[in-house]
Amino acid sequence: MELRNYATKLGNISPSHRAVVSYLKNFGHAVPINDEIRKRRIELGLEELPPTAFKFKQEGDDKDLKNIEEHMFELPPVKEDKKEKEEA
Amino acid sequence: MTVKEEKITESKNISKTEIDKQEEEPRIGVFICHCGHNIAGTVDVAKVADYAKDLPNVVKAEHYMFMCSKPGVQMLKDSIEELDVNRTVVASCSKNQHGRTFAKAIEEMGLNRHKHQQVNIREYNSWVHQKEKDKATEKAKKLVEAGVNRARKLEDVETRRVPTTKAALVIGAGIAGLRASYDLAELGIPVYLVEKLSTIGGHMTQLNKTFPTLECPQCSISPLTNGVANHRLIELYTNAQIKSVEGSMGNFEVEVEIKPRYVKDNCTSCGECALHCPVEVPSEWDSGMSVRNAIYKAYPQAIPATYMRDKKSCIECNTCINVCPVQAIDFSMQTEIKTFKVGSIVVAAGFDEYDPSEIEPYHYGQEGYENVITQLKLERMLAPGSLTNSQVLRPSDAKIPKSIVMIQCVGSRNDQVGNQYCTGVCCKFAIKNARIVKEMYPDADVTICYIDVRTPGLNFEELYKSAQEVGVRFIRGRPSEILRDPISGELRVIVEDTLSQTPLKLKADMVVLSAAMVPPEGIGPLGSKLHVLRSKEGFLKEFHIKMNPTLSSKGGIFLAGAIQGPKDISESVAQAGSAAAIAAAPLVKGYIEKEMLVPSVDYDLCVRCGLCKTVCSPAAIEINDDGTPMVNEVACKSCGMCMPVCPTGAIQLLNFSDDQLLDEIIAISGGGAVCENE
Amino acid sequence: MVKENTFAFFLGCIMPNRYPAIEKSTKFVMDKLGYKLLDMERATCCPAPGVFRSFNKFDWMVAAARNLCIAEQLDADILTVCNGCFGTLQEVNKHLKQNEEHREMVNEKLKLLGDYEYKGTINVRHIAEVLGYEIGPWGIEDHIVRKVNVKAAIHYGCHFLKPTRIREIESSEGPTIIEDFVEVLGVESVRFKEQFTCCGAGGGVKAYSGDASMTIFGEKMKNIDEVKPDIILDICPFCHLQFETGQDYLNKNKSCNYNYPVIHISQLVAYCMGMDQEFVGLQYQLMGQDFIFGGEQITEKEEAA
Repeated sequence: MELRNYATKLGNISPSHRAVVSYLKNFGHAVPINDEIRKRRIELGLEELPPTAFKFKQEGDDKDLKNIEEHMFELPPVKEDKKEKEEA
Repeated sequence: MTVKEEKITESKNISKTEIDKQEEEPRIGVFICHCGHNIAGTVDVAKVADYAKDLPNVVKAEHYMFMCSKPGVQMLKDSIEELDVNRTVVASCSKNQHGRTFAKAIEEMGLNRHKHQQVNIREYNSWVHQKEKDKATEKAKKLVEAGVNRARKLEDVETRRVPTTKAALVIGAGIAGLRASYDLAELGIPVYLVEKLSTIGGHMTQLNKTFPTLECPQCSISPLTNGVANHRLIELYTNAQIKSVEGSMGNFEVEVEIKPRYVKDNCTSCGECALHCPVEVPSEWDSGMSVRNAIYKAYPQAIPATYMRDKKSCIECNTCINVCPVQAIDFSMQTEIKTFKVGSIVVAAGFDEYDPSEIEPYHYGQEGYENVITQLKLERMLAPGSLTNSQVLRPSDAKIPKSIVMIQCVGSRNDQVGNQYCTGVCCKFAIKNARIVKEMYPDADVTICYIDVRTPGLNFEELYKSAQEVGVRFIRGRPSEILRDPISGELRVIVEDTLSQTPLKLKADMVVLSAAMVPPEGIGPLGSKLHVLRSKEGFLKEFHIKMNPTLSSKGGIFLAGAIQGPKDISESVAQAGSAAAIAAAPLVKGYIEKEMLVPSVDYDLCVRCGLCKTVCSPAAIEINDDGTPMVNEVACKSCGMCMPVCPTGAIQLLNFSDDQLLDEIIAISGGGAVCENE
Repeated sequence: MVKENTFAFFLGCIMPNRYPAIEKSTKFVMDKLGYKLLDMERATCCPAPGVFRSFNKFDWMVAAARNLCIAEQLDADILTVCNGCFGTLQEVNKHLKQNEEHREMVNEKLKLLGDYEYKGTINVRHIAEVLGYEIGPWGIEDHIVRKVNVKAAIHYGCHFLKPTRIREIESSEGPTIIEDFVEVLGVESVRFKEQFTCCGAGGGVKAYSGDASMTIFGEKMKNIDEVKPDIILDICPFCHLQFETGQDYLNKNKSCNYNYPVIHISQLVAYCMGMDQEFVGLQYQLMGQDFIFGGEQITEKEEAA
């Protein structure tokens, strides 16, 4: 676990994993909702959007997600291309 | 061969001497040693000698090159003769190194040897302050003054001769206990051999073959078991356990509880009773690989040959009573308590095989995993006369396994279960068994999964090589789990071959776990009764791991065999011989000489709190009816723990009393010590 | 003191955003059993133990603590139906209760996220152990109106029982908590090879390398296929998703022909307690769309005269 944390600090984190982090910051979830599921929720008799941070963001109250975006899971920028490493 | 006789001087009386208290004026001789450059290179010994000269009660202060040499020692002797010096101080090396040398020297001149005070200005001073000569010299002065202060109040310590009981108790009749008993008996010492099982011989009798020579253990041990059983000086008690131990070295009183066999001694061992007994239970001696009856003999060659009734399993149908041709069976037999008076006790209680059920991923003992067994069970299967007729058969379906995987270090070298040690014999017996099995079934796959292969000693590397040559496979990796296919019931051992870095799933018709040697069940209560210390792994702790591995923490109690730590048969036998010799010494001599460096109690100060008894590790302090402590001077080890716990200072150790120690501290601290006087 | 018979319902990501039928089923079950489920407003991803913890352990703890605070403010224990959420929330909750130093550090950072302070007043529960131990097979019997008659391959997943020292539910070597519970619902558990391995989704694996994820999963499906169960029973929406999309992937790319319906324990229990099959949501799932639960109605117990 320590090694993986350290690798992240150095910027060694795959693009797909970076995407997951951005989902959390934007949507509050690693797996965001989509239109099909919204419809399904209504069909099943649930509220269209679950009462998580995302719902509140839609309603204008995005304090929490903004704070998360700002303070949490800061990732170093993408490492320079491998080409540069070869030249070095 | 001449035996060097100790010169008995006036001070070493056989009867008790009166200890003169402070009637004589202390006349102290101080000798500072150069020890070549060791001390003199750092400490200005002349200055120290000068300083000592002016201390009160010092009548002579000198320095010399090598105090331990003949002329040096002669200086001590001369001072005693010429100047009536009655207490000596030598400032040189440590007490362990030459304290005895000087003590003996003054004893030869008629002084009590405890009137010598050794001051260490080498290890404690010159060797550690080599760059600070001035400070070292000052420190030496303080140390010497402390020594002088101490010497001033030293008293004679009597050496008492305590007659010993010429008899020995041996606990445990395994290979170590048998050897110790026999050796003791051959020295003319009557032995009481107490064994908790119904037969003697221990684990060695359960084995198929012993390494490295692949001999039959029953044959090897037979002369010894018979020798012990028939020896006129050995009394054997089986089905017996220690109930209590009183006394101290040279004179113990031991109560032994002997459970009834329900079969009298006229039993002819014909076996009719067992033949007709309707009850069958798993045989403990056969490690559960076969059954025995409620009335049984553990195995055909068992000694004693008398049968025994297991009361718990017996349904009391009385069939055995009816068929016994000599009417030997008697259900009314009772538990007996016998008391033995002995001079030495040898503990040879052996070991148990580790129970691997604790390691969940190996599923030992669980339903569906009957083919996961231990090495002891394998030995039982291979042994002559076994239920499987010495064949290796799978417990689940009695078929011959085509693939056998052995797993090493089960319960050893394992932080998770708390046993960090390496048992040290499992590699040897696994390799032995693997080779035997492979030679019996050349078409079978025999694999040993190891972490390291440890086969030290003569002939063992050869055994290891020979196993490889017949085709035993060795994989370096500790298996993580044993998987079972729920449909077919097949077992697979999951292991990584770390040498080739390949994860493997080994097919295993049978898995044999090389389980560790652990302390035997019941060692806790036994250890408490004997008042001996245990190591953190649970074995009984030896006095000194290097110099005295046979003596326990309590005088008069000796250790032999696996009870002191995992070891094989050869080592156990060797240690047993050593235990017998050391245990016999005071018994053959007829007495123990002990220096009475013991505490005394001021009954006016004693508040009867009993704390002194609680901290005494050799259990040398008992509390009288009136609440005051009574010291067993023979058991006392002079450790002094009773002193700091005493709230009033009523108990004081001879020559280590509070004011004596305080005098030393005052000098070391430079004379300005603030203290609370009692 | 936390409120009795009340849970703060932690939704997570996959259940509300991909498999809402599980949410519906859970609400149905808990309501019928007499529990009140409170909404955890403003909750986010737990955050997922495989991805976020491996990026930055401390921030992972802080984000989890924030979710825990929401429940603390509701004064109710958390109920989750997901192994991943359970893994994160139970572990962080236990750790912060015991480790004062980390608790202080976490609370410091929490202030930046809003009015949050972790106090350590609640516990975290997983529906599988609430059903399995607290209600138990004896307790659920009174509430079910029909028994099914299916053979199920039960998948425990990873974070529910492990690490054993932290979860303290049951031994992970041969657990029976789910088998014992669903037996009374009419489910026969069929054992298959290497039953207790990971589904291949979690640990950041699926997000990073779909191929590796599918290789692991493929092995598992092979073993399950050997015993031909009627359904696959899981207790985690991520495993649920993996079994669903995985079977689909294997059919399309590895010429397999799997069609095992994947059922979360909430869905199963809800059905047995009377929820209509249409709400179980099989019609929305990829696998086993034609599967009919069936089962027999349990006759009403006759009133004692």
